[in-house]
Order: sequence, then C-alpha cells, then structure tokens
Amino acid sequence: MLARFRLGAAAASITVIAILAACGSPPRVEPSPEVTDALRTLVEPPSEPPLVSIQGEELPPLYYDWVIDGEPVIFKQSENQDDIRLTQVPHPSKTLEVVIGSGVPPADLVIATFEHVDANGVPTDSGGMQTDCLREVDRCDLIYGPDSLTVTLEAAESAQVVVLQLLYAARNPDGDGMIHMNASWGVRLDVDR
Amino acid sequence: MHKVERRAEKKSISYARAWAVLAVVAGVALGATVSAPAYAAPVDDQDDGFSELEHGPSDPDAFTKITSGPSESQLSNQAPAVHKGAIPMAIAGFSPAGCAGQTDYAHWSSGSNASVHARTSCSIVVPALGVSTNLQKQGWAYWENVKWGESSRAAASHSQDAHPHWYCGGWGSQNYRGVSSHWSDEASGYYTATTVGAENRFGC
Repeated sequence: MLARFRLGAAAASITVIAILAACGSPPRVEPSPEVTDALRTLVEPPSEPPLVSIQGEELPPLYYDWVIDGEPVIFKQSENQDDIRLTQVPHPSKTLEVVIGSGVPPADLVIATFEHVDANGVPTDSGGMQTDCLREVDRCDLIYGPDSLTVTLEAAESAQVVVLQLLYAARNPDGDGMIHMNASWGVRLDVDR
Repeated sequence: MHKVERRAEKKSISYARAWAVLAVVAGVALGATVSAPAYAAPVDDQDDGFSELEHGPSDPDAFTKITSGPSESQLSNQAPAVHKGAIPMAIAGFSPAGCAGQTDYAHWSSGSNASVHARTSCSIVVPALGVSTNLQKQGWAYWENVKWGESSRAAASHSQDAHPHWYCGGWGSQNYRGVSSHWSDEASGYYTATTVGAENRFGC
C-alpha cells in the first residue's frame, strides 16, 4: 500500500514537472506589495510577554498588546513614545546579542537600529534600519533553545538605539479565530568606546 | 463597541488559484514541505451579505490598561532541543487544504482614512476559516494598533476581506501597515499564519 502511495506520489511529482515543462517556464511573478504565507499548525504563544535581554541586560518592555489570563492588555511605558526612557547598555563591539526567554518561535521578529537621535535621545530616523530576522536569515543568527531564542546580528558602529519588536499569533479569547500579540523592548547603546 | 458592517467580495477563479492547487499536488508529492505560492484574490467592496467586525483600542470594552510590566515569563517545558537558523518548521505542519493568508499594503482611503485589506484563501472548501487584521501606525519604539477588523466564514474556500479603516486626519504623513492572523479549521486540525503587509507612508 505504502509502495503504491509512493509510486502515486512520484507519478504526481512527475506530472507536475511535466506540466511545468509543457507550459515552459513558470509565469514570472511580478513584485507585489502583498505578503502571503501558508497556514500551519498553531503553536501556542507565551502566556505573557517573554523576558528579553539585550547585551546581557534584562529589559522591561516598552510596549505590549497581549492576552494575559484571557484578557487583552495594553501596556505602554509612556503614552508618548518620545517620553520613553531607555536602559543604557555597553556596546563594546558591533555584535548585538538579544535573548528572548521563550522557545516558541515568534511570527515576526524585527530589530531596528537608529543612528540619529535628537537632544533628548529620541531617534529621528523614523523607523530606523529594520532587520526582519525571520526572513533575512543571512543578517541574523538565530539559535532556538527549549526555552529561549538567541539572536545575534551586526549593527552599525554608529547605532545609538536598538529596538526589538516581537509578534505572536494567538487564539481570540473572545470567540473564534485568531488575534496577534506584539511587544517591543529597547536600549540605548553606550557608544563611548 | 462593535460596529457591524456588511461587506463583500467578488468571487473569481483566478489563474493564481490554479497555481495554488498545483502547489498542493506538488506538496503531497514532495511530502508537504513546500508552501503555496503567493496569489492574489480579487476583492472589492460590494455587499454580499457576510458580516465583518471592526473595533479599535478606543472602544471602552476592548482593552484594559495596566501600569506595570510582567514580573516574570512562563517558559516552555519542551524537550531540550536547539535549532539554529530560521523557524524550526518541523514543529509546524502545513494546512492540507493549501490555505494561505495575504495582507495587502496599507493605503489612504476616501474620507481621510487609512486602511488595509487582508484575506485567507484555501484550495478547497474547509469547515471554517477567517482573518483578523490590525492596522498599525509606526512610531520609533513600536507599531501601535489603531484599528482592528476581522472576517470569517463557514464551509468556504476563502474568507471575505478584513479591512479596518481608521480616521487619520490631523496626523500628517505617517507610516502604516497591516498585520493579520489567518486561520482555518480543517478536519485534520487548526492552522494559522501571520502576515505583515508592506509599509506605506502617506498623509490623510
């Protein structure tokens, strides 16, 4: 039976290849602003925003929109983002190390670095230099452990502020369907080196 | 409170959908280790009788604010395993119905609104599927959720569009994007994906 299935699968594979060959090369996919992804089995997200450290410094979140004990909760360190106070951490080399205290793979993991700040230390370069670590795997080194995810990447020497943004999918506590939960953490780099 | 709107989607059997079906066949043949290719589901705003919910953080019963962060985080009890590289796909199997989610780029909409559209589409009819989408406005420290919308259907192969709209007058030029959670409830289980749409800067 299994052999028959394998034979069938192989035949299907050959059929697909034959169809592709008969049609010539696949149609060219034009660059599109839409983003598409295939659905997979649900991996339950962390029940709270995970602990995060950057350069070994454990950080409080700047923001999160999370479902905790079945209730949606929004936390902002400051209502105005320009009033946010960041922890300063040493930055002896270009390498940044971020440790996320959960082994659950996030749905999105972006690290933004900012090179320009105003007199109050607020980044002035809009969204900064953003690295999508789940897709730009050549720029981020990811190590998944049973209860942590370690990310290392090279940051510009002139980087002054680093922000980590995480996103997880979760079941909607109010009914059917899904929601997503996001959170961010940030540090100011001690660039006196 | 929830604002119920009736929205619509024009059905169209697209060339791209044929590719999705082909991908499922190929996925079976290759041990389901490939994802469905990107394809566009045509949409418009005509009314076809399906309901859609929208609400934002300004709703008094939508969220609860607290003033301090979490004191601890619950850690996983999974068996020790270290995986280096991209997401460990071994822990997540693909939707057998070839379901895929899609989020378009955020855009300016009539009436000084920022908006984004998103949807979930499958190659075959599934018991239920849907999409929920947050329209987000960028700040340097985080993307703020400004409006949420969802759409779901039973016994269908594609959802309606979730398309939250947010009045953005007075904010000047801002960067917006949509983030969507897609789901399908299939005979073999529950499947999800998250898509983050392209950013777009515009004034209202």
